[in-house]
Amino acid sequence: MSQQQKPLTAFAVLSAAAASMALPVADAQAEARPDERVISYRNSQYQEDDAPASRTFNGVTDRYSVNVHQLGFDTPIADDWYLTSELQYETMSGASPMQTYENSDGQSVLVMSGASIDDTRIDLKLAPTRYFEQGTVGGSVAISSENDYQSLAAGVNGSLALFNDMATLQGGVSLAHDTLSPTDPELSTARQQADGATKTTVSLFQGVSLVLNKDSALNLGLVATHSSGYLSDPYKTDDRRPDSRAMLALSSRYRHYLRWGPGQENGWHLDARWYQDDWSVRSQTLTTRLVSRWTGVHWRFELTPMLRYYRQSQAAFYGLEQTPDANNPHSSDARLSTYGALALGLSSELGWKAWSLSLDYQTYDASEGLALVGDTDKETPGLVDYQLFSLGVSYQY
Amino acid sequence: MVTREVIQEVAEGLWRCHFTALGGPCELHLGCDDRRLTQQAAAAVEAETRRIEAKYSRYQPDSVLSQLNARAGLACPIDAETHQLLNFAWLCFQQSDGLFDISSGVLQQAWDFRQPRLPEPQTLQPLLRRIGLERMQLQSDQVQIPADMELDLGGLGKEYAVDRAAAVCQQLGIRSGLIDFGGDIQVLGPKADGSPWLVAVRNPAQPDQPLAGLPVYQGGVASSGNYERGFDLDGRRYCHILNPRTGYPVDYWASVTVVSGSALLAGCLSTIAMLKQATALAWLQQQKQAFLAVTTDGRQHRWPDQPSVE
Repeated sequence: MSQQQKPLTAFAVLSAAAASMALPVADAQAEARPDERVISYRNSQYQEDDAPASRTFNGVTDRYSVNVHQLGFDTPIADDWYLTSELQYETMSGASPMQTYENSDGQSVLVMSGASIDDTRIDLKLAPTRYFEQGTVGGSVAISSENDYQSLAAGVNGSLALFNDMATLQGGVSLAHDTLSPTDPELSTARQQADGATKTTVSLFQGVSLVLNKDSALNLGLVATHSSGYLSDPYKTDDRRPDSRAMLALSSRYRHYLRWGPGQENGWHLDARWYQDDWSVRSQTLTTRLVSRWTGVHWRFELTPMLRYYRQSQAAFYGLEQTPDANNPHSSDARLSTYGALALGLSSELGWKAWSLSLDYQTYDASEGLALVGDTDKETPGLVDYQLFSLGVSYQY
Repeated sequence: MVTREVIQEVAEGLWRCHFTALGGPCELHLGCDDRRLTQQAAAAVEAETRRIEAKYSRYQPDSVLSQLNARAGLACPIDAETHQLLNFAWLCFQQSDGLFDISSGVLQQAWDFRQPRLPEPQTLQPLLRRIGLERMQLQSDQVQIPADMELDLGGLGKEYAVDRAAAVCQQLGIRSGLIDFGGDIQVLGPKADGSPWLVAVRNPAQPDQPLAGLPVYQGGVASSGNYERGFDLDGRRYCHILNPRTGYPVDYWASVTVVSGSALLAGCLSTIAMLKQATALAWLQQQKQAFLAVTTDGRQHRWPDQPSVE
């Protein structure tokens, strides 16, 4: 989930400070290979709130809960090589929406999957990176296995530091190939048709990071993604999505550092993202964080409140007809409707010598009304509210 | 300020200028075709150096530093430059796990290195209690130190002055040269023919003799060693680099020389290495900055293993 922050060497800390003193500093270095090995463990509990009882068809209101264990190990593997690896084990249970339709009173009715679904997922990710004087070249492979879903992914990425590290170009390409094998195929023809179906996703990323001045930095990124193959949800009723999807996202991340004296450092982050795809989903995200860091000789403490607003407009084929035309694309998946969401979070991290302990909490509320603009007169009881709580510990040596 | 007599053209387009400040010799070797520009640079460097000395010398009672010490216990307003220096000192303190401490200068009251005599423990103890930079409260516009604390920028001031001198030369467009304030060095850029400057590293056993010559194209060089001030007693060397926790001199390294981005960086890294004693070797290697370290029993460690000119 969150990327492990590598502690800086004394040289890195002091040269950054010296650089900010308007002194000539030769040999500004690009990102150097970390020397530390880091072992980390994180447990996250994700809990969705119950579906609204007054809008569910069969009285099932329990939604998903997911328990995630992540074990990470990062290590130098050769002179200029560094490997990050992560093993993730997830268990999930609960019911999920099968269909939403509008009844004759204009209310939306949510049909939940009857029995609780129990599943486990195992992910393994390996990402070696080679550090050069002026940049990095990295690769990644990931394999993910679930009862009804297998995924293989690989990618390459690189970065290049320019103008004395004042600008860094980033780029990457990744490829994922997924295979479906829905459980209980006798329950629907959609499940039978999806058995053995595949989905291929290619993603291209380009970005640039700019140091604006000694206190601020900006990162701009553009991601183009294309998925093709079986893109529907076989567990939903009348879910027929186009067999390709082209997506484009532009993101900007702004960082402003506020130094308030020794041992106290603050940063203000503002992230914005614009997204659109050829299913006519458009979304905008705005996230802001205030990072406060207190540092002593052997300890450090970081507290970060976060506020995020998200909105999107619905896919062209989103609809709430109870029996839609079988010849046209259709979905009543709430994630393709017009809605908005607010997330509030608080992250904390306590470091002591080589140890670090982190505690994070996030609450997320989605609703039709939060879309603020767009077609929101239809009820969307399938939208999910959730709480996420995670506890992590890491040790470096 | 610099008179014509102390500016010499030692070779075609290479000028040597010197003056005395910060308690020692200050030398500039500038590669420049223009005598007037060289004079201008030398005068500007000397003016800047004297400004820094007047501002941060602990021997001048009206210096900013002396005023801060005189008003210890009270919050004192400070300017941006003083904040940056104190903040840098704080980072050195933090990165050295408290070993590099600009409040440890009070220990000089117990140690008189002109005489081979050890201080009494009862003299050291009350001084040790006055040390501890974690008690400094620094904000961007003010600082407050405890009433019993005294700050001394001796460990950073000269290196800072070297880097400021380099900035002055660069602003005047001088790209080739070497600035040497009593062994703290900043190389502006390679010699006119593109070759590196050869910086001599002293042999700690015979400080008049060079141990090695380090070729440096650009950046800072600084050495910290037990030969600078100290005395020998009963077969042991007691040098002026004092551990702020024990009050006693360090004794693992005879000298540590670091080549880094600036004189200030090289200086603090070499001093922290001296203070870290035996654990400094692994720490120095992590910093990925070139160094040459010599133990008190004469063993040499260097990184990278580039051939030096003996």
